Amino acid sequence: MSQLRQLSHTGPSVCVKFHGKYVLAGYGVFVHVYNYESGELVSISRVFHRNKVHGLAIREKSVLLYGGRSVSLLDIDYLWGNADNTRFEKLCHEWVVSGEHSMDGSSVFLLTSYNKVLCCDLSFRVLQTKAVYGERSILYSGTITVLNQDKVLVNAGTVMDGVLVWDLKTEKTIHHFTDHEGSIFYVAASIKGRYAASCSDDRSIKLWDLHSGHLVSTGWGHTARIWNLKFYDNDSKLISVSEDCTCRVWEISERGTLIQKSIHELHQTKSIWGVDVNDEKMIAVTSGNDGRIKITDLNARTKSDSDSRIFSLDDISKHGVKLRPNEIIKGFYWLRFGLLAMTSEGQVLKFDQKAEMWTSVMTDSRFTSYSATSGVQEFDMVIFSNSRCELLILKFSEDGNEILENKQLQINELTKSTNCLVRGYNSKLFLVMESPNPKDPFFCLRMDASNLQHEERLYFKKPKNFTASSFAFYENFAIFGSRFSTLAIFDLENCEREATVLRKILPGDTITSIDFVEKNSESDCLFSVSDRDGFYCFISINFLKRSHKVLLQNRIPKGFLEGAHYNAQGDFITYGFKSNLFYVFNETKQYEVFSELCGGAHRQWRYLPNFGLDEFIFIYIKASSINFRKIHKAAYPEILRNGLHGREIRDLCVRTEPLHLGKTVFCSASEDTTIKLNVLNVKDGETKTVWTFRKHTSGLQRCKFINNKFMISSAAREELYLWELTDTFMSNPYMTIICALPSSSEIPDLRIMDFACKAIEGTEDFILTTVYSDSAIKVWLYSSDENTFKLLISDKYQTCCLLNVALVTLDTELILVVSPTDGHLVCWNLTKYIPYVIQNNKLVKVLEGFQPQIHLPDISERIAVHSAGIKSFEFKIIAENRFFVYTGGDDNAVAISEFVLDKSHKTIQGCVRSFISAGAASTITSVKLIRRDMTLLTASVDQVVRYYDVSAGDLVLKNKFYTTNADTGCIDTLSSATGSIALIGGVGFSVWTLE
Amino acid sequence: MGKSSKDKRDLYYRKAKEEGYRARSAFKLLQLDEQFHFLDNVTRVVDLCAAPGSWSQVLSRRLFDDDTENNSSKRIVAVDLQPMFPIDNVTTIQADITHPKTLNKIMDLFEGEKADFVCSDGAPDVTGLHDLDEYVQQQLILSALQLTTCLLREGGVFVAKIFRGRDIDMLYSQLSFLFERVVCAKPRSSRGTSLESFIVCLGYRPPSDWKPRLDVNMSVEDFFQGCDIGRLTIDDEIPNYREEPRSIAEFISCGGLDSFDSDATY
Ligand SMILES: C[S@@+](CC[C@H](N)C(=O)[O-])C[C@H]1O[C@@H](n2cnc3c(N)ncnc32)[C@H](O)[C@@H]1O
Repeated sequence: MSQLRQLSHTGPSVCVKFHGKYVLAGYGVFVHVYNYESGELVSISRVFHRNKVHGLAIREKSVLLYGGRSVSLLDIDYLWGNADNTRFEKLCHEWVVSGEHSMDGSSVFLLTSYNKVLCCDLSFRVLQTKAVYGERSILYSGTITVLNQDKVLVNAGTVMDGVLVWDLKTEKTIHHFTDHEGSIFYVAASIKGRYAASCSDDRSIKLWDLHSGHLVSTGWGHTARIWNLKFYDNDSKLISVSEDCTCRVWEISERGTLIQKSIHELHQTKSIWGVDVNDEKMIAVTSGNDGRIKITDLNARTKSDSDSRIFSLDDISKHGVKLRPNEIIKGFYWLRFGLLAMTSEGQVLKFDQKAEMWTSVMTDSRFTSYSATSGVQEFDMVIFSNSRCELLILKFSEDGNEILENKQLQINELTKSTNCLVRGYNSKLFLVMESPNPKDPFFCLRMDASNLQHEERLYFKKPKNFTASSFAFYENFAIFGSRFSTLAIFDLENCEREATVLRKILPGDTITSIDFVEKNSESDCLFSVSDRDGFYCFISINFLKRSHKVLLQNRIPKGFLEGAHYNAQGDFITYGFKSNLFYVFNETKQYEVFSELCGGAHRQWRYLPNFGLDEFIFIYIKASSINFRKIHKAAYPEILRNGLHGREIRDLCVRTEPLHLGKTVFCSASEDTTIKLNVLNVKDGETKTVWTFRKHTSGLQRCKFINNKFMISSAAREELYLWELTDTFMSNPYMTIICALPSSSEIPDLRIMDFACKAIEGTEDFILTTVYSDSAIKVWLYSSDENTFKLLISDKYQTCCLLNVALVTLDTELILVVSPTDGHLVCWNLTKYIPYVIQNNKLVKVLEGFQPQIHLPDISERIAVHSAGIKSFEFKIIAENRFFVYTGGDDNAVAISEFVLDKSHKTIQGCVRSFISAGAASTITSVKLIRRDMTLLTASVDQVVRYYDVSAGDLVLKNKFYTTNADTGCIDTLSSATGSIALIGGVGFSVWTLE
Repeated sequence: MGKSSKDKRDLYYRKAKEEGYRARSAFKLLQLDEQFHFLDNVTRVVDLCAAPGSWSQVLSRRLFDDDTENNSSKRIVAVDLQPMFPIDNVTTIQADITHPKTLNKIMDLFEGEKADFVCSDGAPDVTGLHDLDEYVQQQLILSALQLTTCLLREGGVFVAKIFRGRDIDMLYSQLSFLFERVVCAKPRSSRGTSLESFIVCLGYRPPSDWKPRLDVNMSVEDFFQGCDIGRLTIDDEIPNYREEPRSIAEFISCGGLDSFDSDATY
C-alpha cells in the first residue's frame, strides 16, 4: 500500500539549548541537533507522537524533554543515533510547564500547569507530589531552580496574580510577587540565585530580589509580549525575546537596574519563543514561530575594540596633524591600508589602520571649502574634485606608504561641476562629471588605471531631467541612474548615439545603486537597481536589441535604501538608514545582518568592502568626529535553519514545470501579508526562499500558477495581481507583477476569495472569474497585448460570502461553479456569455456576433452538499457531459457530487454521490486530487491528512497521517518520479511524498 | 482573531445595536437556541465568562420578559474576570472561573437548588502557540464543566464555546460520557473563517458512581480524577504514550441557511 512520508518540515520552534558545540532545538515533534560551528544539521530525531517539544533539560548524558502533556527521558546519544525515539514518550495528565533533573541526577521534577510538581524517578514512577495549598489555578509558565540536593525552588507564573516562588520540600510560598499586570509568560531565576526575572502580558520585565523579596527594577522596551528570559554572563546580563521578533540584551547594574544594551531584529513576524546563551563564546541562539534557528554574536554590536573607532578632530591633531581652528572633514574614502580624507582647507589626511596613525599627505588649496571625494578600491586610488572641474587623483601603493601617481587635471569642457562619479572597470578608470547646466554634455573620462595615461574624453548628450546618481558598466555600455527613477544607457563606442532612456522603472525617486548580476544564454544582461525610497528591481537589458524588461520589483519594509547587491553566497543584501539606524539586511533570508545607531541619514558616510572575506566597513561623521565600524563575516553561521513564514500559510502553489534538475518553484501566501517565492528540492524536501514580496496589504486568500509563466494572487481590499515568473537566469528565479485587477468599491474589507482561469488557445489571453466576500461574481477577459483586464460579467449570488470558484469546460460548454458559505454548489452555463467558441473543452476562437451581457444567466443547478461553508473543492471531468466535484467543508464533511449536462445542453442536474459526515474532527480546509485523480487528499484543522481512494467515484478512506502544522490550511501537490509530492501549509510547512 | 474594522461592518454588529444588545455574540446564543430550544422553560441558569453581557441579556429577556410567572424562583448568575454593567434580574460576580472558590460562590447563590442551563462563552488570551492555546481553552471548558457537574440538574444543558483544533475530538469524547447528546454547532453569526463553534451538550446524566467534590486545593484535573470520562488518571507512574479516546461530534450549522453569514462583506 502506498505510504505518505514526511520529507521535510519547517515550523515553530519553541525551545533551543546549547550543548558543547551543538545546538539542540525542539522542532515540532522532533529534536534537531545542529553543529553551530559548521552550521550542519547533524540529526533529526522524533521524540513525541503528536506534541511539540516545548522544553528540554540536560544533565550529563540525560536529556529530559517535555511538551504539552508529553515527557521523555533519554540518553543524549539517542538523539544522534535514532531517528525515532517516540517509544520513550510518556503522557502526563496535566500540561508540563517545566522540567529539571535533581542535583544528584537520581530523579526529575515536573512542574504541571496546575502548580504541582511531580517528583519522579528515572523511569517516571511518581515518588512524591508537591504543591502549595490553595494555589492551584492555572499557570502559563514556570521554572524549577535546583540549588542543591535539598533546596529546590519553583517559580510559577500564574494567569492572574503574579509570580509565586515556593519551596519544593516544605511546600511553602517564599514570595508572591504581584506587581505585574496580566498573565505571566515566563519566570527565570538567576544562576546564583539572587534574582528572579519575570515578564507578562504588560510587556515589561521585572527583576526581583529573592533575598529581600523586593521588586528591584522594571525593564521596558519590547513593543509586544515577552516570551522568554535568560540570565547569563555570571548574572550580569539578561536576554529577552518577544512577540515583536526582537531579542534584547539588558545589563544588570550593581544595584539591579535593568539597562537595555542592544536590540536585535532576528525573526519574521511574529514571536521568538526560545533563547539560550553560550557564555564562553558570547553567542545567543533563538528560535521562533517562523521556524528559524538563529545564531547571534552578542559581542559584535556591543564591543568597542579595534572594530569600532571614533576620532575627534582633537584626537587627529594629537597625531601631529596640524588643523586650523575651523577645519573639518569634508569627504573620505577607504582603501586597503586605511582612510583618505579631504578637509575644508584642502588638506589630504591619511589614516593608516595598522599603525593607527593619522598623517597629513599634502595640501591642495584648490579644494578648500568645496570638494567631493571618491575613489576606486581595486586601484588604491582616491579622487578629489571641486566645482570648477578641477581634479586630483592619487594612486597609492598597497601599504599606503607611497604615492605612485599624482595627477592634477582640469576639465575645460564643462563650465561648472556639481557631480563627480567614479568607477573602475576592466583596469580602466572611469570618471564622470556633470554640470548643472542642462545644455552641457555629460562628460566621461576614461584612463588606464595603472599609470593614469591614455586619456579618452567622451561626451554624451544629456537626456532631459537627468542628474546622475549612480552608474555601472557592462562591456562597452554605461548605465546611469538618476532622479525620477530613470536609467540612461550610453554606448561608449558611439558617443553620438542617443542614450536609451528608461523612465520610472521604480516607484521611488533617486536611484542609489546599479549592479551587474549576470548575462544569460540569450545575451540578456541582468542588473539590480535600488532607489532611496526603499524599492529595488531587477532589470534585464539586451544591449544589442536595445530592449529591456523589469523582472522583479519589490520594496523593503521601511527606511531608506542606499544600495543593494548579491553577496558571495548569493544572498541579496540591502543597506540604508532606518530612522536613527544604519542597517544591513539580508533580503533573501530576511534578517538584519548589522545595524548601528548613527543618528539618522547622513550626508557623510561610506559603506565599503574592507578587503577581508565578506568584511565591510561603515564610516560616518557624527558630531564632527569620524566613526569607523568594521563589520566582520560572522564567526559562526548566522542561520542554522531559515524557516519560512512566521504566521499561518494561507495558500501554496507549485509550478508544474521543474526549474532545473530536481528543483521546482512554489509560492506561499501568508497571514503575514507576504508572498514568498521558494525553491523546493523535490528529493529531500529542502526549501529555500528566494524572494519575499510585500505587495499585498492585507488578508491574503489565494495564490495559483495558471501556467508555467503566470501566477495570480488575491486578497482583501479587492487586490488581485498577475505575476510573471522568469527562470532564464542562473542567479535566481525572478517574479514581478505585470497587471492588477481594477477594484470597484470603497469597502476596504472586500475580499477576493477565489478565482479561476481558462486559457484561450494559441494566445496568452485568458478568461478570469473572481468571487467576493459580498457575494459578487465577476468574469473578466485578460488581454496580453493590452495588458488589461476587461470586465465581461458582474453579478451577485445572494448575500453570503463566496468561497470557491471553478470554470469547467464540457466539450462545447463552459460551466461556472461556485461554492458559497451556505454549503451549496451552484452552477451557471456561461457558454453564451463569453466571446469565444468552445471546442473539445478548449476556448478556441472569437465568437462572431457576440452580444455582451453584464448579468449572469439564471442558475442552472444548485444543490445542498454541506451544512456549512465549502472550504475547498476540486473537480474532474468524467465524460463529455459529466463532472465530479470533490468538496471539503466547515461541517467536517467530505463529499463527491456529480453534475450532468443534458443532451440539449439546456440543463444541468446535480446530486451528491458520496458523503462522509465525520470526514475530520474539525474544518476541512483543503482537498486535492492526486495520482491521476485516483486519490483525494484532505487536510483539516485537526492536523490530520487523510487520503481516500476515489477511483470508483466514491470515498474510501485509505489512511490518515498526523501533521505538526497547526491550523492546517492548504495543500498543493506535484507529481514526481516516484509518486506525488504534497506541500502542506498552516502554522508551518511540510513536504510529504506519497509513494 | 482580534477585533478589527471587520466587526464594524458586520451586519450582526449593526443588528445588535438596533436590538439593544451589548455584543453581536447575542445572536450566537439566539441562533443556537433557535436550533435546540434549550431555553424553553428554563428558570435557573449560569452564564460563565459573560462580559460584556449580551448572553445574559438574552437570558434575562427569555426568563423574565417572555414569561412573567414565578419570577421569584428564577435565577441568572453571570461571572467574568471583567466587571459588568448591571443587567435586570442578573446577579453578576467578578471572578476567575478556574478558581474553585468562585464555583463555591456561585453554588451559594443557588442555595442548594440545581440549575437548568450552564453556558460559557469564555476565551483565554491567545499566545499563538496553538497547542497551548487549545489546552488553556479546554481547561476553561473543564472548569465550566466542573461547576456544571456540581450544579446542573439531571437532563440539563451545557453550552460552551470551543475552538475546533487538534484535540477537540478528545473533548467530544469526554463530554459524551456526561451527556446524552453532544453536538458541535456553528451559528451563522459566528465567522466561518474562525475556528469558533459551540459545543451543545444535551441531557445531563451524572455518573452514578462519582460524587463531585469541590476543594480549594484541587485543580480541575484533580477534580475529575475518579470520574470516568476517559481523561488520563495518574497513580504512581506516568504512563506510556497511548492514543486517547477521541470521537467526532455531530456538526450542525444553525441560524438557517438563509440568514446572513458573518463572513460576508457589506
Ligand atoms: C467572548 S467574551 C464573552 C461575551 C459574552 N458571552 C457576551 O455575550 O457578552 C469572553 C469572556 O471570557 C472571559 N474570561 C476569560 N477567562 C476567564 C476566566 N478564567 N474566568 C472568568 N472569565 C473569563 C473574558 O473576560 C471575556 O469577557
